[in-house]
Amino acid sequence: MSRLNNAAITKLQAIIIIVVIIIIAAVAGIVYQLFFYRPPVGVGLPPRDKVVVGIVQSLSGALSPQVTMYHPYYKWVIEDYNAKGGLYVPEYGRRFPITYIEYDDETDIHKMLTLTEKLITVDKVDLLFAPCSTGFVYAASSLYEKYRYPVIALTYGSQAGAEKCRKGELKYLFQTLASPSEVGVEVRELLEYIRGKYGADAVGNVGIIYHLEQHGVEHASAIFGELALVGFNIVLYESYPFMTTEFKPLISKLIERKVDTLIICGYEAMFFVREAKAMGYNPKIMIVGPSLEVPGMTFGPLGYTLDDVRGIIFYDGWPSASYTENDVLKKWAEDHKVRARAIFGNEYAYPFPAAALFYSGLQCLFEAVQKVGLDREKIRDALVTEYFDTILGKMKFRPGYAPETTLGGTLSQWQYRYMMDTIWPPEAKSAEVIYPKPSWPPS
Amino acid sequence: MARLLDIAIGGVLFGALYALIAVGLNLQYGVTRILNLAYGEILLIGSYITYIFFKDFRINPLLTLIFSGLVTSVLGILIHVITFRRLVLSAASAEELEFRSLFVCFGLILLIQNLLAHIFGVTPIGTPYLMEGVEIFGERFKMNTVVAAILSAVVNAIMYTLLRFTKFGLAMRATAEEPVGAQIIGINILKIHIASFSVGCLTAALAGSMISMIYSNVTPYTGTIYTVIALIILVLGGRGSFIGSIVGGLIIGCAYYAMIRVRASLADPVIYILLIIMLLVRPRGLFGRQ
Repeated sequence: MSRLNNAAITKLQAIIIIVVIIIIAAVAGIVYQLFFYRPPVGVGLPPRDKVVVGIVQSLSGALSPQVTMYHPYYKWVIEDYNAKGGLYVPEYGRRFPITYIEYDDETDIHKMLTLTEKLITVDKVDLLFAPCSTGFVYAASSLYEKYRYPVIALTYGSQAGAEKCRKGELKYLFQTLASPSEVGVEVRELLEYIRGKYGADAVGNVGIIYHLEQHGVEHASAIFGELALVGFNIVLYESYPFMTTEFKPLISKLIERKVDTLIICGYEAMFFVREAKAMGYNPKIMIVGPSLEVPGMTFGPLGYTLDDVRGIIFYDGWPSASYTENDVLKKWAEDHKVRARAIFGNEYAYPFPAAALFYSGLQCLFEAVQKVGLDREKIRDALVTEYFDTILGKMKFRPGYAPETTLGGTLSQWQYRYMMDTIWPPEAKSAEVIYPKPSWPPS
Repeated sequence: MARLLDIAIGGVLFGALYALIAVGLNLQYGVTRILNLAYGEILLIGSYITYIFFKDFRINPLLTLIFSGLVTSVLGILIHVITFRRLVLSAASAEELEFRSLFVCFGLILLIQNLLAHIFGVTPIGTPYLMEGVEIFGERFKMNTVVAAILSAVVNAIMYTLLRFTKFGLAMRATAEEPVGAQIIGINILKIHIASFSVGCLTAALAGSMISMIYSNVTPYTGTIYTVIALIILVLGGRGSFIGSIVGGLIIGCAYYAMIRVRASLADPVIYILLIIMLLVRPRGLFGRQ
């Protein structure tokens, strides 16, 4: 009996032991909660069975041809991610199929704004794709800021918008194409290179003509500024009506002023070339904006041959690809030819220089979701801080500037195949620039 | 001197085609009092017919002119019989007819645009033909522009002959000037209306075929541009005046071409300034009836 009493703990000891156990348990629980606990995914989140993308674009009206040519990648990227099982959303720990709601703005900017707001406030889409053309995207950017939707803009290149992005006034708009000021630098560098390689007279008199729309005005102004700074002789700087088809009087002026280097800032080169050929005007260097760079269009409905366009340089599709960079891009170009055949109805449906860029931009958006989830603030932050794997290699957005990509050049040229060759900068080129531009072939 | 020559020749070449575009609309409006705002869309039908024959069968666009004109004139008869005839019969006055027909035209615009977009898509089309340059007094122009101008002049001459020297033309002029009087003397003005509308569609299609030969920017939505050009010439030249259409077309062609030569960005505004001046100074147009 006394031995039992000696071994027994006192009341105080018992209380101390219990308190210590409680403290240890509490500390262990706190440590576990802070460092090891992962809540079951989806807990506390609304039920979801898909990811919805909202698209407003001009399926009819004056801009519909541009949408047809430049925006098929919206559907393609959705199809490709769905083919892999859908988009992975980390909050839910699983993949969801991507669907889209699409509205036709009928090339009416007011309708586009109304429908965009409807997608956000009524349809409550998870993500948004941008409309077509600089003016439309710039108008919609205020909605992206208001509702905080990060949007990747494809057919958009505004200097005013780029300045706002650089200052942080537009945080949710991400451009894929280079801004006009960047284009100006590249054009100047190429012309300086040609002048250095082929002699002082190689560039000769420069003429810059541009259409009276935001794209033309901003690009012409930027290129003029760059060229004038380094002493190029600009003998003609003139605007023309948007989408005009009659260039004969302007060409007469170019011939009178002996313009050797012609820069067309606008979408009308597809009409200009015909007129120039008929009038026998063949500049030594011809640099043009969007219009002749889509093979399915150029060699299809427009009826040009490779001989017609050989030597024409294109400024607006960078970071650009020549689709010879690696096997991924080569395969993508071949797939593009098959997929885009339905759009153009001919065998020239190869990708244009910026096609890979457009697709990559959308890849970044989806990759950002897969990394950080559907929180749009986190997506926005990820787009400016992270590199994502795309078909153009590693890609990161830089607000107000062309995105950074592992692959891709800046200026392209029609040479000897049905895809444009990258001719600038030297480290990215797939071919040497053809100079001077060859003579027009006989009709 | 070279510049003046370029403007003179270029203006005439353009003006001839513009005159053809305007003649058809003026004829329709002058005789039927229906301002066919879908005129540009009907013009596009001609463009697309030529395009299909050129693309799929490699038929010379000049040869398809006849076919596109015939098809579109038959279409014009159908459009008039199905839509406008009822309006003509039920309208209490010419003003009421004009007002109601405007809304029908808006519907036609949307219908034709969407049909063309559905069938042909929205990618710009053209039938580039005779693209080589030709020299006229030292100035180079595209062959197809010159051919289009000559053909337009020929068609306009035929139209003038039809209106001036045939009984049918006389009946049209009578219906345009005095519809009640024309009925009294036994002219079936409903048939004249249908015929005028159809002939207007024919000239529109001919112009459309030639436009697709010269330019490659034809889409289902470019018809409005030509309707506006035709309307401006109609105001300038005078409603119901054939000579007015020709002169108005030449004035607009020369002004537009000259402005492109001098300052391309002002080419469009100049035409509208001419329109405003005419409306303020002489609203009935240069040759319009009082």
